[in-house]
Amino acid sequence: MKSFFIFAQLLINGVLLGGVYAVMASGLSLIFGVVRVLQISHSVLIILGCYFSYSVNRTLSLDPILSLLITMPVMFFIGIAVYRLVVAPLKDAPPVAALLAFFGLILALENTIGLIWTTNYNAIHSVYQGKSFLLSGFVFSLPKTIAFGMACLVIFTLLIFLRNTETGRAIRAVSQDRDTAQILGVDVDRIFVIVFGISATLAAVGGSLMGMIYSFYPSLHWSWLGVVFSVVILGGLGQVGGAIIAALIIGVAEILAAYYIGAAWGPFVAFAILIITLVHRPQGLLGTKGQRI
Amino acid sequence: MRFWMTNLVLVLLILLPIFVRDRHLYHILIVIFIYATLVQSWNLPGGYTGYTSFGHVLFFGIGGYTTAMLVVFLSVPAVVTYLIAGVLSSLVALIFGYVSLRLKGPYFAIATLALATIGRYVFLNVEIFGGAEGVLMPMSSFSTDIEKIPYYYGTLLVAVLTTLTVYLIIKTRLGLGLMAIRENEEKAAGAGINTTKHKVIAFMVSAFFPGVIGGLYASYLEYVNPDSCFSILYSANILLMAILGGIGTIAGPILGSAVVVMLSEVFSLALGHQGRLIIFGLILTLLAIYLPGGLLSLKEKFRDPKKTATAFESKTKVA
Repeated sequence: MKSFFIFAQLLINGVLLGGVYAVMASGLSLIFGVVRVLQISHSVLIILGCYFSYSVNRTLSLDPILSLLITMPVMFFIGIAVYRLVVAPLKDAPPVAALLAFFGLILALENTIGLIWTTNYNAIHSVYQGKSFLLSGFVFSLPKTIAFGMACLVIFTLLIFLRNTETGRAIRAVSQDRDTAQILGVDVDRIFVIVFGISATLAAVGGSLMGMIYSFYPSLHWSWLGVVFSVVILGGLGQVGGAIIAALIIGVAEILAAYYIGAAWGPFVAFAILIITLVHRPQGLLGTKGQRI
Repeated sequence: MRFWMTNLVLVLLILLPIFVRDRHLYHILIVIFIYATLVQSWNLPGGYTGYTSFGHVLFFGIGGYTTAMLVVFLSVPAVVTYLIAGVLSSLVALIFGYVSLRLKGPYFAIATLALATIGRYVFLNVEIFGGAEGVLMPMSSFSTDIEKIPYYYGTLLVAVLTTLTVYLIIKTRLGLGLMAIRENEEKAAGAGINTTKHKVIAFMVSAFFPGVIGGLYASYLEYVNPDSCFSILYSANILLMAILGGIGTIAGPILGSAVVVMLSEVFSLALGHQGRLIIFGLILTLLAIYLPGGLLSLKEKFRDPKKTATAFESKTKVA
C-alpha cells in the first residue's frame, strides 16, 4: 500500500513536471512543423529566457509569473533575430549546415550567459518558494503546481491562437502545404518570422517556469536539449498535440527513474527515450507508419 | 610538388625533438595531432558520406576510459590498451551505427549528440568509473624534460595513420561508394551499393582512431574523468575544425585543427575561456552560413567565383 502511495505521488510530480516540459518543447515543435528546421539551439533560448526572468525577478523583485510580462516580449524579438540572422540565410542550404550554425549559436549564447550571470547555480525567488499543500493525502509543491497551471494556460492559449485567429490559421496552412499557402496569398516569410518569435516566447515561459522549480546554471540546457527533442520526436515532429502527451510521459519517466534508479539518472531517461524513438518509431507516437525521417 | 611538401613537413616534425625542447610547444603539437586524428576520422562519415556526427567525442571518451581501466585494474601495458580501446570504440560504432545510420542526416546528427550525452552520464554515474573525479593513472616514468616526446611521436603516428587510412579508403571502391551515398543514397542503393554495409564500415573506421587517440591522451594526462573525456567541447571543436578546414577533404582536417588549436591559445590568453568559446561559436555559425566550404574553398573561389560548390554544399541539394 505504501509503495503504491509513493508511486501515485511520483506520478503527480511527473505530470506537474511534464506540463512544464510541454511548454519548453512546444516552441520547437511549432518550428519544426512550420519552418521544417531542427532548431537545436531552442534549449539555449530556454535557459536565456530563464536568466532574463531571473534578472527581472532580482532587480525589480517581481513575482516570477509577472516577470514573464517583461521577459516574453524581449524573447520574441530574440527569436526573430535568430530567424533573420541564422535561419533565413540558410534557406537553401543543406539541413546539416543549419545544424552547424545552430550549434555555433549554442556555444556563443551559453558562454555569453556564463559571462554575464556566471556559471554558478542560481534560482528564481518567489513568495511561494518551498511551500506546499496537501490534497487527499498527496503533497503538491506550490511552485510546481503554479508552474503547471501556468503551463496549461500558455498551451491552451497557443492552441486557441492557432485554431481561431487569422495568423494562427495562416501558420497551420503553411505547416500543411507551404507552396499552396503561398499561392493563396500567405506571406510565408512573415509567418516564419512570427513562428520564430512565438517559439522563443514559449521558450522564455518554459525556462522561467523551470527556474521557479529547480536551480539552474548555463550548461544545464544540454540536458534540456534531450528533453525537448525527445518530447518533440516522441510526440511526432510538428504535432503539438502529440508533444503534450509525450511531455507528460517523459516528465513521469524522469521522476520515476530518479526515484527508483537514482537521482543522477533522471536526465538520462530523456536521452534514452530520444534514441529509442528515433531508431524504432521515428514517426512518433501519433505519426503514421508511412512517415520516415 | 604537394607530395614533396607533405614529406618535408613530416620529416621536419620527426626531427623536431632534436632541435627544440620547449614543453609548451610539444603540448600544443600533441593537441593538434589529437584533433587532426579526431577530425580526419569524423570526416569519413561526416564529410565523405554525409552522416554528420555531433557526438564523436563518445569514441574518444570510450578510448580514454578503456586505457585507464585496463592500466589501473588489470595492469595491461599501455601500448596494448590503445589497440583494445580502438577495437572497443569500433564495436560501439558497429552496434550504434547499425541501428542509427538508417536515419537521415540531421536526425542522425541528433542521435549522435544524444548518444554522446548518454555516454557521459554512464561514465559519470556508474560507480566503477570513479564518478566526477574519474580514474587516476600511474605517473609517467620519463623525466620531465623529455616526458612529452613519446606522446608527441605517438599522437603524430596515429594522426598520420588516420590520414593515410582515410586517404586509401576514399581512393578505393569503398570510398566511391561512400561518396555516392552522400550524393544520393537511393540512387546509390539502386546502383547496387550495399549502403548499410558501407555506412557501418565508414562509421567503425571513424570510431577506431578516436578510440586509440583517446587512450593515448589518457596516458598523457595520467587521469581520466567525464570532463577530460566526454566534454561537449570536443565535439564542438571537431565540427569547427572540420568546417573551417574544409569538409570532405584530406588537407582540411589538418589545416582546421592546426588553425583552431593555435587560435585557441591566442583567444584564451586574450579573452579568457568563455570569451574564446563565444568567438568560436560565432565563427562556426558564420562559416556554416557564408563559407560552408571552409578555408580550402577560398582558393577555388578566387580562381573561379562562380564555381563554389564543395563536397559539403553539393551533398543534400539533390535530396
